[in-house]
Amino acid sequence: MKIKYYPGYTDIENGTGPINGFFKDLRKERPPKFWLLVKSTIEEAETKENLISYEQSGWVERLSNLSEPIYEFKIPPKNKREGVIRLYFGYVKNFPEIIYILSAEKKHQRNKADPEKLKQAVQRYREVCL
Amino acid sequence: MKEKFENEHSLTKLLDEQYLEDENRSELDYWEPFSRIITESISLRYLRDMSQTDLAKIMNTKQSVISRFENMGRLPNYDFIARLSIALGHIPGITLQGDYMAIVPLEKQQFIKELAEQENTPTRKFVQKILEQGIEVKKQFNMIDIKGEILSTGEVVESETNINNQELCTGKDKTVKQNYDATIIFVANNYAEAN
Repeated sequence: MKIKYYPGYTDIENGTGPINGFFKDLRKERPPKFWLLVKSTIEEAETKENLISYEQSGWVERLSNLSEPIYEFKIPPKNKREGVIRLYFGYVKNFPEIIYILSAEKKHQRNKADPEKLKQAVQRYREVCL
Repeated sequence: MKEKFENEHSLTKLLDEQYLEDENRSELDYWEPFSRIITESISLRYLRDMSQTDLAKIMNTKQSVISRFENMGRLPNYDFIARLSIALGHIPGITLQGDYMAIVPLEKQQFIKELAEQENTPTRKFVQKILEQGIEVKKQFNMIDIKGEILSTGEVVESETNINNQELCTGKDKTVKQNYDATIIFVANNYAEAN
């Protein structure tokens, strides 16, 4: 798998980009367990041919009721007390081995996804995945 | 169009850059093994088609303990890590020199195991041996880029690489470096320069 993110440095005029900014903030947490878990999970996922094992074990789920095929990568999949990182991504059309992380947030399991984050993911999906 | 995706916006590259920029890198280094064994545990469990309950039974513990571990709950002690490694079909390994540690990728482990068995050597020692051989090759030929790979014992693989002349490379201006193209033929356990 190739796991990419959008938008990046070259895609916006000022600032570092929302995905970069999200991970920068996550890294500041003490201890930085979430940032490290995301890093090692993504590195592990990139060694696989697809994300089927993550779908079957509950880490990845397709979100329903969206106008585009947006998926959610939950890292770790269940952590009600400390929270879960949710990476919203889409597969690149005709290249199922490539995904783009389109937006991200940290949530507690019981809380629903931020509608604004999902809206951003859908918009960015149309810009980069189609 | 696929070429467009090759180099842009790699998430692991972004995270690696953030790691290198971090002023508190030692704290990241402190916690990194914990996150790594969690992802290893989940990968190995899935590879062996084991549920958390299956793993818990083998380890003589509860499913909730496995779940808490995999969701970054309580920090495991050595006994847990050792029993976890054995339950997942491996042997535990701990080192104080994690910055020089390497892991054979899962898909190559069977191949390495077979080679070790042919030499009647424990896998860990065999891995150490080929790592040291690889370092010697790198040292002797000062290779920048090695293409191709050794496919199996005794098989000859041709590889092209650039060898930098050491004297030219010591200049401050990197543009004066010159590369000498050479064809290196690799034979498992023996290395000879062809041209």
